[in-house]
Amino acid sequence: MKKPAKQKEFVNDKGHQLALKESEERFRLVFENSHVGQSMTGIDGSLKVNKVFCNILGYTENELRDKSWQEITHPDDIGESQDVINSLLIGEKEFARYEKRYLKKNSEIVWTDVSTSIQRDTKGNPLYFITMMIDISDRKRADEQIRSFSKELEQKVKELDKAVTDLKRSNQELEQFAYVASHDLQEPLRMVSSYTQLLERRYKDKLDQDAIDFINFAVDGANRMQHLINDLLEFSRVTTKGKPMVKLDLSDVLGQAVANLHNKIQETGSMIVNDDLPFAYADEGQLIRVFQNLLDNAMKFRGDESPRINITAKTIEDEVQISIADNGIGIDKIYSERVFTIFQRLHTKADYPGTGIGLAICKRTIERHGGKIWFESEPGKGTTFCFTLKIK
Amino acid sequence: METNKSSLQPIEILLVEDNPGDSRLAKEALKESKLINNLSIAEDGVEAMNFLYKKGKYSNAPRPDLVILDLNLPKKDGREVLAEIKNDDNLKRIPVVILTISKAEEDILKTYNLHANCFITKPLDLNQFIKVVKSIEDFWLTIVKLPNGKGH
Repeated sequence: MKKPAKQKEFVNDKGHQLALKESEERFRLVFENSHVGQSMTGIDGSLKVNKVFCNILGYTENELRDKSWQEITHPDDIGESQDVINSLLIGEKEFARYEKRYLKKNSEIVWTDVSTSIQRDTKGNPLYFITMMIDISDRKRADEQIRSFSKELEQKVKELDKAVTDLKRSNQELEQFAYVASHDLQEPLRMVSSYTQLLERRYKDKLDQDAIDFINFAVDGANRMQHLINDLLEFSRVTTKGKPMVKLDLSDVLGQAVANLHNKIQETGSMIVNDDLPFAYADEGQLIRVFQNLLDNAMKFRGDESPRINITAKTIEDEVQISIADNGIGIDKIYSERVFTIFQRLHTKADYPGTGIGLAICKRTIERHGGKIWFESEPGKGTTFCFTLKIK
Repeated sequence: METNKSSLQPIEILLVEDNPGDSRLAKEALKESKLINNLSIAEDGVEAMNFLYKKGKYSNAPRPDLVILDLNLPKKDGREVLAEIKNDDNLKRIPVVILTISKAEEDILKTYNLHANCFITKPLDLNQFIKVVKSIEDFWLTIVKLPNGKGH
């Protein structure tokens, strides 16, 4: 405490000296016992520190006595500290608070929150700086972590955004491709099929059985390809040519599907029983097709008994769940995903004809409607297909 | 009806179709038809309009009783040809049958409000195609009953 001694010049009164001593003692107590790091830096650069200051930097009081403030300050922060000192010296401000890095004895960096003020004599000459410092390394580390997390998060969000955009575009391209391909494939196919048939029609008498067989294979192949193309076209149109959702009476929609299947219902002797179905939001044409595909499957994959199909509805919150239960051959649970995949078939074409696209169309349609589709089944005991639709 | 029809002059049909496979098929199917017909073929929209306006090499072209029009044509597409026919006072009474590739395309086209008399989907199956020609026959027989239906 060299500097305060100077004040004596200005204190000639005994009472004043006593008061000064008391004041110095008070200051010493506060300085020594403060729970924040404190230092007094003389204008000559001499350094006096308290215990907490020492503890924060890992030095002893003696070790620090010989150090200049520059030696214990992070090189990158010396400039700012100097600026603060200068502005305090010229009286630009009385007090400055800022964050700076000190260097610990073991060379580690410690982030601190620093408040520095300048002490002057009565003539206004600077005496020393009083600095209070708290260790904010933990907060800085947490800040740094938050910054790096949010940067990482930002990066991830960007990547995700890009992935979504890419996916949307590639999906659109794929749909466009499927539409164009299936549309443009029809013409050459029509040529193959029509002229092969014309050949048979005009020259039947001149051809032997082999030639007629060959023609039949060609025509049959072309027909099957036509069905595949039509189905592919329809599949791609679910999302590309969908109409807006409107409020529909599902009983009417079912009624239309049943009407479309009239002949097949008669032929198979099927019995269709249904609940009174509620209203829901859907694209009418597409939903008719969903009912039609599911009913058609229920009749196609029949067991020994004539098909009995039971259609029920239950409302769960803002959705209605439609269940179409049959008494057919059932489906093994292991195929729960596969049956909904395009062109996946569980049976040979000879056993059950079809292109394997009906359920894929149903799934795509229901998903377009924001619903879900699945089935519950036990082989030999029938299958129940369920799907959900929004009622609001 | 049968006797009535056979006593009539042949029907002049203009087929506007750029795909030779399709126009030949139409020609072959019409050969099997009971309808006595003269089939002329225009391969694009510009040629079709020249035929209808009897321009250039078509100065002696007959006025068609029926136009069968493909929509996807080079130079001038079927929609433009149809619009020109329907906007021309001399031509607008000629019935136009539109050939489409698919039922889906037909649905889309109908939304354009084209003033076509009839839409027909190009079928894959030859037997279906012959049915289509038969339906053109029926269509024609309905048309001839209309006053001024026959142009000559």
